[in-house]
Amino acid sequence: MADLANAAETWVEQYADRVFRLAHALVGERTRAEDAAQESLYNIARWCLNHPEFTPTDAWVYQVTRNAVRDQARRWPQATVPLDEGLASAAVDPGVERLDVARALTALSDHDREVLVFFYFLDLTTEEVAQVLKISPTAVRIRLSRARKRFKVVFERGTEEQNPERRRRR
Amino acid sequence: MKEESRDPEQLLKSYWHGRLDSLEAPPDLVDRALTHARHAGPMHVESRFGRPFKRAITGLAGMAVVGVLAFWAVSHHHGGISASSANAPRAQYHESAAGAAKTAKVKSSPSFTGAVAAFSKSTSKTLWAVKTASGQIQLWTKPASARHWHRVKTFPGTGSQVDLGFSGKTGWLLVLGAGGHWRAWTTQDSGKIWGALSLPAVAKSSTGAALSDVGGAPAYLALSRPDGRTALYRKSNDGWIREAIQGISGTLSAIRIKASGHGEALAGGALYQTQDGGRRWSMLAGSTAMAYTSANTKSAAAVPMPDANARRIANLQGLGSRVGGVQRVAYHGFLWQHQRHGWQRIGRLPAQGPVRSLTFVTVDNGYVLFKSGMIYVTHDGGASWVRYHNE
Repeated sequence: MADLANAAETWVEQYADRVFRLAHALVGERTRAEDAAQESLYNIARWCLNHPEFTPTDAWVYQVTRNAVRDQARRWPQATVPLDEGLASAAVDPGVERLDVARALTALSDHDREVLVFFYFLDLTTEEVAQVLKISPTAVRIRLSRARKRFKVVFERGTEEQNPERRRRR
Repeated sequence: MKEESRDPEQLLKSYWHGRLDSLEAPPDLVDRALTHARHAGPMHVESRFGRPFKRAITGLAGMAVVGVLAFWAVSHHHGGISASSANAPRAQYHESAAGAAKTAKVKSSPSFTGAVAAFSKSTSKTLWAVKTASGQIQLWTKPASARHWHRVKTFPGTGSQVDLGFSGKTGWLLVLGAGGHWRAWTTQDSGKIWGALSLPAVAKSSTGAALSDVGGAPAYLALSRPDGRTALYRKSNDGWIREAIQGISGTLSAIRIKASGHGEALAGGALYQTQDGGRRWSMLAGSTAMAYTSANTKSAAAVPMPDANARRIANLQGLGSRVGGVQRVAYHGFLWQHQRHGWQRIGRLPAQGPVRSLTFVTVDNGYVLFKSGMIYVTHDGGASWVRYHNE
């Protein structure tokens, strides 16, 4: 039993940072990311404690984290706070694009955002993303292409609203 | 100027990798997850054949069973809520059983601990609370029908006095930080995005501050100076512009100015009104001597509601709430109600001590926040109250 607990602890410690980063990328805010990461690590630990022969894989951990984020969004749909303090303070500098990127990401649907996170932040292949999202690689490629286009449109609209001069120059 | 690259791939990669690559999980996250997991017991695993069957049951008859069980659990086993002190009436909890069933699964969420400093509602469906305990300014929320609170944001720094206000989708938070420095945040979308609101430089040395919105955006800021005078600032595209004001004296504690220019303010315990956007103020007769504290019970029983301005003063102070044509006011230890036939005393408030805010979500469901940080909830229009356990 002690071995089992040690194994679960090892797995959870090994994945804690990655889970937290992924949750942060998906929800966009530290407090909610902590809640989602904690829920996710709890599920990972509990599964490992109940299944001694189980070895977690990256894809499985990402899937658990994504489910925890989705559960959280379902429970508290209004509690989305996508901008952290660093971004809010960056708003005073019109040259900083990070705020525009953050705003554009919040305007995307959960489906679009998560496929972008898995592909661009975690650098997974389309096959790996397909495994996490439980869809076909073709569906991933289609979803990725659409998400990219939507992000670009929302991002450019946002930067033009923030910087009218840029629009006039064009 | 050279136009920057707008390739979404590069933008997203640099955004995420720049922000998150160095991020580490908080040290206690692993401990909390492991502790909960060790106490959770064995895990149920669905078989491939059992899953659709279980879903069908859950979707139909199962939902009814879960609903009945959740209702039973809520009415017999209050969980996060329990009856208050001995003089408080017996709890009668009627909030959504479905909400309770949903949140019952959340075993590892942070709890709603610490004293509440401010309380507000953004729409009829969402409640907001600010806690300043443990050196942080935490914003919590819950749908009115849900049972559990959820922490949505932690603002930087510490704060003591807090004022939280919502007008439709617009909300603002004023905090008196260490060293007498006022800071403010605002939201335009029902609390989804909060941005820092810059204040005039004199806010660093002000003894009091109050904000008022016009058309859904913070538009007026009243700052009380150490010499007792009040400065009024109007928000414009160029920042805050100071307005010369006449006819108002004493520390200004609350202000509300409408787009039409009509407004009300509380200063030095008296009610003032303006017709011209806050430049000239006149005090309303008979509006003084309104002490909205919960006094000790025997003398309070003999206190009548003093004058016609009671509702306006109470609403300005956050001690009045009007829903469905029924105005309620927390006054001198009692809950008062005003309908067509005038004032009627509903009953005693659930605790003694000053009241910070009174908020009714529906005609029957309401919350009272005491300055001590305790929240009580009623589901029968104020006849009985139940305490939220915050400790």
